[in-house]
Amino acid sequence: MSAGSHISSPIPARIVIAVSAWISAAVVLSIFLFLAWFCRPLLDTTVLSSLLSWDWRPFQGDFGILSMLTGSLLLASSSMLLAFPVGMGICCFVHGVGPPGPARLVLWTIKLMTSVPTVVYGFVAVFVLVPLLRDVFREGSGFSLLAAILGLAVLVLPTVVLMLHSQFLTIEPQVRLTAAALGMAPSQKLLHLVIPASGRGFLAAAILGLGRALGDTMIPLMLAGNAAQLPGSVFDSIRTMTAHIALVVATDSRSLAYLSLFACGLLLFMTTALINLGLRMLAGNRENGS
Amino acid sequence: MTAAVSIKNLRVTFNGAAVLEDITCKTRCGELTVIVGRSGSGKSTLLRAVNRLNECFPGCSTTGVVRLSLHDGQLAVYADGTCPERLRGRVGMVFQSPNVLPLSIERNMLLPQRLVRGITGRAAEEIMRRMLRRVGLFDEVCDRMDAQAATLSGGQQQRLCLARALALEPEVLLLDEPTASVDYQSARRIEDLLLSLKDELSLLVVSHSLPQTRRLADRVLLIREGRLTGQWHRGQANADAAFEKMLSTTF
Repeated sequence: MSAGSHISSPIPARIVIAVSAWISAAVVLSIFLFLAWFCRPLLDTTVLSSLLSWDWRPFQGDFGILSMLTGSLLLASSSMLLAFPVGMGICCFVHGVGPPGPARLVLWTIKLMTSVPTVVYGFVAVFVLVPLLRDVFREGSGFSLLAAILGLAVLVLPTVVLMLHSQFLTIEPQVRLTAAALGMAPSQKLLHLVIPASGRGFLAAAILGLGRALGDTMIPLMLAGNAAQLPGSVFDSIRTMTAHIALVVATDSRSLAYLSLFACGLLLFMTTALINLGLRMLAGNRENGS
Repeated sequence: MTAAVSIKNLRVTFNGAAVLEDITCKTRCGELTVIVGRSGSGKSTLLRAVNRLNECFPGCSTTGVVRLSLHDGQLAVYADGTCPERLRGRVGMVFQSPNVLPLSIERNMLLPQRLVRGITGRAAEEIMRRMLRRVGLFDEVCDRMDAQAATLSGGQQQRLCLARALALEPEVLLLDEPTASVDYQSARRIEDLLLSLKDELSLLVVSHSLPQTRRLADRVLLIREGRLTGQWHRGQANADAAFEKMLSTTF
């Protein structure tokens, strides 16, 4: 290839990128419009009040999705509460608290975890975690909020660790030698220099992890038991919006129950959009700050 | 006079490649020793061998003996029981480029004191003010101690780093080309400060400047391709001629 063709290549590349960006934006917008369009029949006062109730009894005409919304938020936030400190601990281990060999192995394992299909986690949990919880706590079948929290925490762990890891990678090299030369221990360096300077990275990891936890279908579908109810304890079964969509979409296609799925879809879409907007605001603030 | 730093058969390799070979030398208490040599000769590696900072770089392996004469006795730097963090708390270091922490001026001074020496409150603030005055920085920063240290000029940052190192009251101070990235005025101030410090602590300075070496050095170590190829001492016979002869090939 001649040198001239290298010089002329950026313009078509820019066009290709611009076209791709516009197509992506159009697809996202069309999904939103599609969901909003199918939610139109739900904008009736009676239907809406039925939808925004706690009871899901389709044969009695109750199509309440609030228990699913609560289930989603409860599961996502609980799994993040578990995954976040564990992820932070792993990140500190990788960045100097742990010995170099095991630290590399842990990081390699975490990266490997991102490529494991969700169904594999679910499958293993069904045969290992669920019987274990059933035997240890002797509360119900084991398919519970707790099983889903543990499974989902493992699923979102790589997201949290790798987000924090990338943030630590930008800060830690700047202070590594200075902190060492001053006589600071690696743990002191992380605790007093790296972590305080990683605030936005922590927030981004939390938001991204929460988005992943909210949007996952397979783990809650396979582990949470799928009873559309408000849980009284972590041993109770719950149903999330994503699992609800997966369950109903496979069994129904015409009724109001089917239409209620679009409300769930719209709620999930808007939640994800809000999380993305939050991230963009963070990035914007960071650029302005720097 | 006792040896401040005693090095014997020091060999440092990175990923198997030798950077320093068979270094044996001594510096004395109350002296300012300048390490000279061309770029890449291993000067900084020799300096970092004294506080085990080479270990922060991947693939580093060190053999040989480095001993420090401290107030409470001799310390074998590479002995099994020697904790690198505690060692570095007693052997301060200032780098070529100012390496302020991403904190305020005040926190740059107070945090290391708290973490490394356990000194907090008024005692730490008193040390901070004393050391900032000592490096001639206090009047320039006293009304903006909460400002980020990175907002200071290069020369001010370097003096802050020097004050921060001195606040830990080290017994040996290592300086890796401390004036290389500052202006002439700041360089002279730092040089004057180093001359005033040499009665209190042992100083090892890497320098690329012949005039600076001439002004500062009581003792010169010449490093060439990882080996110690020459030594000079101010008290030796025909010191001036020997100095010119030894350094004429270096600078």
